[in-house]
Parts: sequence; structure tokens; C-alpha cells
Amino acid sequence: MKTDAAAQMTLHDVRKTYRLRRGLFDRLRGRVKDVNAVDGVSLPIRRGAILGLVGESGCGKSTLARMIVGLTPASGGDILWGGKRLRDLHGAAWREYRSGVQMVFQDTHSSLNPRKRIRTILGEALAAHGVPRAGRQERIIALLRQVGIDPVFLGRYPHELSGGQRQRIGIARALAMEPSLLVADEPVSSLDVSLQGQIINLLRELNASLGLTIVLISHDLAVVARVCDQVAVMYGGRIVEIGDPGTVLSAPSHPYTQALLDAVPRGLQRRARKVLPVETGDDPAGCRFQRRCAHAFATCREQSPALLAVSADHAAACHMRQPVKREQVPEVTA
Amino acid sequence: MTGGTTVATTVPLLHIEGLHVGFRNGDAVRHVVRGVDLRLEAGEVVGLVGESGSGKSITALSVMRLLPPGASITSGRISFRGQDMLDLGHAELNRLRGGAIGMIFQDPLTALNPAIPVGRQLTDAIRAHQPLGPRAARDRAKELLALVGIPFPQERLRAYPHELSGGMRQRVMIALAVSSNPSLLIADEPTTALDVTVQAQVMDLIDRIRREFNIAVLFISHNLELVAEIADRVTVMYAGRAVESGDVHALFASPAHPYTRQLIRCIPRLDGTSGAMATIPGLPPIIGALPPGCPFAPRCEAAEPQCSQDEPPMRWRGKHMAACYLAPS
Repeated sequence: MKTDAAAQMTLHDVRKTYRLRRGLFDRLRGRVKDVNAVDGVSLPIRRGAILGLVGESGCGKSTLARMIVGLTPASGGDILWGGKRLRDLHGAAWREYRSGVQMVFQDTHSSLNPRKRIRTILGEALAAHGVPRAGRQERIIALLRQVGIDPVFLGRYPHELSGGQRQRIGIARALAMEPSLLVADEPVSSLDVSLQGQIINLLRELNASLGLTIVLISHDLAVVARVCDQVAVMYGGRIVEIGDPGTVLSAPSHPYTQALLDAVPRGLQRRARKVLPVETGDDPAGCRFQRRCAHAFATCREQSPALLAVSADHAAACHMRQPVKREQVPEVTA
Repeated sequence: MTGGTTVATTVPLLHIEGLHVGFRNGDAVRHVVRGVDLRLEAGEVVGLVGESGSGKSITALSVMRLLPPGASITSGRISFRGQDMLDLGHAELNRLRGGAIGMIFQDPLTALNPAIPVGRQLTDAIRAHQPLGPRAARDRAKELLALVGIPFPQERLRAYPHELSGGMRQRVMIALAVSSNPSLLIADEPTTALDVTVQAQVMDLIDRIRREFNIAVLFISHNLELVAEIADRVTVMYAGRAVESGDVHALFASPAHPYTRQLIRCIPRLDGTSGAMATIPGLPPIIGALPPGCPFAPRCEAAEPQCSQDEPPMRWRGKHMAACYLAPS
């Protein structure tokens, strides 16, 4: 995959491997085990778009987010920012990238320093961004306004705010760095249903008014469907389906996407909800999803399916889809 | 009343009447629960829905008398199988906790002891309530792990909580909660920390187990849609009070309280709509600084001047109860 002119950032076969630390005996015997948290993700992050990243815990979505933000280096593949590989960025270029890509975390209790006032939390971010002391107060108030927080909260501590307000502060802190890409890792999953919409709507507004590119990580398909321009479904460290949310979520091509959809609570239509079998054991050879898949056949146990186009803006990694579609659409455009 | 059967039909399994719970702050008492009535029959599932700070968890904790430091029940009655819970001594309470009343919490990682294998935690719980020897308790523990769908139960007995996934830990919690054949299970946001797929599995498990053993469930969640999946009746709480209560179908079909109506609208749905999400404007009121009149009035889409004067009482509105002046009668 080449650098896309419309891409804010391009991921090329990005991998992250963690070595499981076992006991001394195992290590001496050479019995070490590697876990591929992210196992070859290629994808352009489109400038000015909202990309939804969906999957279960352990699918690698948070690890991918941390690599995008530069909190952890990739163990393989390349992340391209402004046409340059992240690993080639040093000094001023690295700092510029680090302020250009910001993150909003799920847990506002642990991501905001409980012993610092809101004024200080935002002031430190501005200082790091090189805003002179004289201009900070004014900028802090502007940031608070931007995220819908009354400036009377300036002197408060994070615990004096509600969960939704704390998440707004987290967003304001990210905005202080004037980023062009914002990665929001489950920004609403610890909030009440009644307040989730407020934060999601705020992200939408920022996307529209600032042209901010957003990667929204969520396990809530309904939220993703609502606000994203593109949705990527991850399983076992890979993207198994990607496309525009209307297509992916109404006519999924991967059985895992279908399973995710089936698991969404349906309230009074109780019996409609299907349950995916429990994942057990180590990663199998072939398709990672095979043991939980109702349609798995021999090929699935041998070969790992490639992510191939299903239609113009829709690709899936499933053997069931591929023999027919491969001739029809030669290039992956997602 | 002469026969046991008569008693069973007239006395509810759990009956909460006029419950008030307050936090003492110097001389002032801030009430987080302000007069909640709740009734659960044997084998019934009742959902308790509300935002954080609505008092739903405190109501549930009151039943077990497990209130956080500083909080106390200032008035009201709680009876379980006709027995006054507020009269019980420590020994009697401990017999009920984890005995006839099981409880599962949102975060199994903090509810389970991180330093003890799950098998040992199960056998301890079993032997605290049942006269079983170590071997029999271990067999029972294995049986329970299998019952809640944990693969390789024999091996998992030796696992520490951190070695299990979130879904598996919640299954262990459920195994613990049902280990002593409870007649009531209190589930406080049991699936909130879980992925949707795992959430579906755990909801299925709770539903299967309560049917199999005829356990009544008090199911607490901020997600009305989730509650609707399992509950027979629902009570919606706001600012420490029940604002609407009734049969789950009636409540969804014709919510009488604007809060319930707005809450239902907020649930993100996969119905193809895109654009801004519905929200309830503003924030829940701060306990101790409630606005005059109906506490929901400042956020209510239908509020009228009278709403800011007196707090509306719960009244029957057709098939269910609501605390709103504007609810159709």
C-alpha cells in the first residue's frame, strides 16, 4: 500500500508482538511464547474523516491506538505520518508528530491527575505546546468553551466533576496541542447512556468545525454506525472487515461482524440475541476466528484469509467471500 | 393465615418501603435515596434503572446492609421473606449475605480476592453456608464452574482471578453468588465492563440460571435496553426516587415519565440513522442541592411552571406508576 494523498496517516503491515514472560525454567529451555497483539494492519486513515475501530477486548484495537499515537513503537511494518516513517522521525519532527496526534482515554479517573486543578491540567498541556504563560489563561477558557464546560470549573479538581465533564476535560487537554488527528479509545463506555450522546456529538462537532481526523475506538456498534465515515472491525490483531458503516453494519461480509451485530442488546425482542461461543485456547493456524465461526471449513483451518475487496468501499477477510469476488474486484481500495 | 402457601402468596420475597438513605456530613444529612418502594416476588426479575448518582446501587446495597461508610438508612423498611432486614444482627445478616441473597458486582476484579485461587474462594463460600467437607466442597465448586460455562473447570479451580478474562471472572462471580442456592440475586451492573459479545453470554447465563433454580433477580443498570432483555418489571430512578415503575412492556410501549421517554430515546440503535445522537441535556442534579419541585424539571422537554414548585408523587397512570404531573392518567 502506497501513501495516499488523502490520508492523514498510513499504516502499512503494522505489527506488535509481545513476548510472554514465563518462568526461568521455560526460558532456559527456549520455551518462550510471542503474542501478536497486532498482526499486520494496513490502512490509510483518511484526512478529516471519523474512522471507527471495533472489536472485543484483546483484539488489538487499543494496542493499535497506542502505536498510532506513538506511545509504543511498532515491532514490524511502518506507520507513515506526513509521508515519513515514524521510526525516521527525530527531534523537532518527532515532537511535531507527537503534538499533532493526541489521545482521549476511556478512564477519566486515571488519565487526569487527581491532585491538580483543571486550570493546571490544561495549563501544563499548553506549556508543553509552547504557548507563552501570558496567553494561557485566555486559551484555557477558549478550550473549555470549545468542549462545553463553564469556566467556573477552572479551580476545581477532577473528582469534583462528573464522568462526562471529566471526559470533556480530557478532550480539551488533547485539543490544547492543536492536533490534526485525535484517537479516542472507548471515550464513552464508562458513561451513562444519557450522557454518551453528548460526548459523541462533541467529537462530531470538532470533526466538522476543525476538520479534525478522529479514530474512534468503541465496542458499541450503534455508536460507531452513527458517527463514523468508515468502520474497521478487528479480530485477533487483524482487520477482518472494513468499509462504510452503512454497508458493513447492514450487510456484513465477515461472520465475526455478523456475530457482533447479533450480540447487540435488543431490549424487548429478547430471543433475537445470539450468543457467540467462548474463545478457548491458543491462536489456531489459519483464520483466527475459525473456532467460533459457524461456517468454518477446511481452508479456514489452513490459510489465513487476506483482506480483499467485496465492493468499491468494502473489504473483508473471509474465505467464504473470496473465490468469487477475487476476479471481480482486483484492487483493495479500502 | 394458617398454611405456608397462603403466606407465600401474600408476603413478597423482598419488600422495600419508603427507604431513605443519607450520608452524614457534619450536622447535615444528604439523602441519596429519598423514599423508594420496591417489591419483588419469588422468581421475578425486576430492573432498577437510572444514571450514576440516582441511588440505584445504594438501594441495592441497603438490602444487604452493605452501605459505604458515612451512609445510613434513616427511615423505611426492608423485609426479606417477611423478615425485617433492619432488625437483624451481624450473625444473621452474614448468613443471608451470600446465602439466601447472592450478589454480583460490576467489577469482578475488585470483588474477587486477587491473592487466592478462584477454587479456594468458591469452597470457602460454599463451606461458610453449607455443612460440606473439603472434598465435597471442591466437587461442588467444580460443578458450579461447569454450571456457569467455564471450560476445563478442574484446571480453572487453581487459577487466580487475574489469569481469567473479564467474562470468565464475571462467571466466577455468578458461580459464587449462586453457590448457596439463593432465592434472590442482586446484580449491580453485571455486564457494564464487558464487551457486547461477552455481555450477551453473561446475560444469557444469568437468565438460564435464574430460570433453572427459580431465583428472583434485582437487576441494576443504566442501560434500559439491557434491562428490558431480562426484567419482568422495571423501576426507573432519578435523584434518589422512583419516577416510573411498571411492567416492562407497558413501560417501553408508553413511558409515562418524560425522563423514561428521553432515556429510551438516548439508547444508540442500529437502525441506520446517522447524525447527532439524542441526549438528555444538562446533568443529573447534585445530591444535597436538588432544584425545587420535580428534580428532573430543569432537563425535562415537557416541563411546565408547576413542575418547579412541588415534587410530584408516584401515582397510577394506567398500567404503571409515574411521578409526573403531566403523565397521562
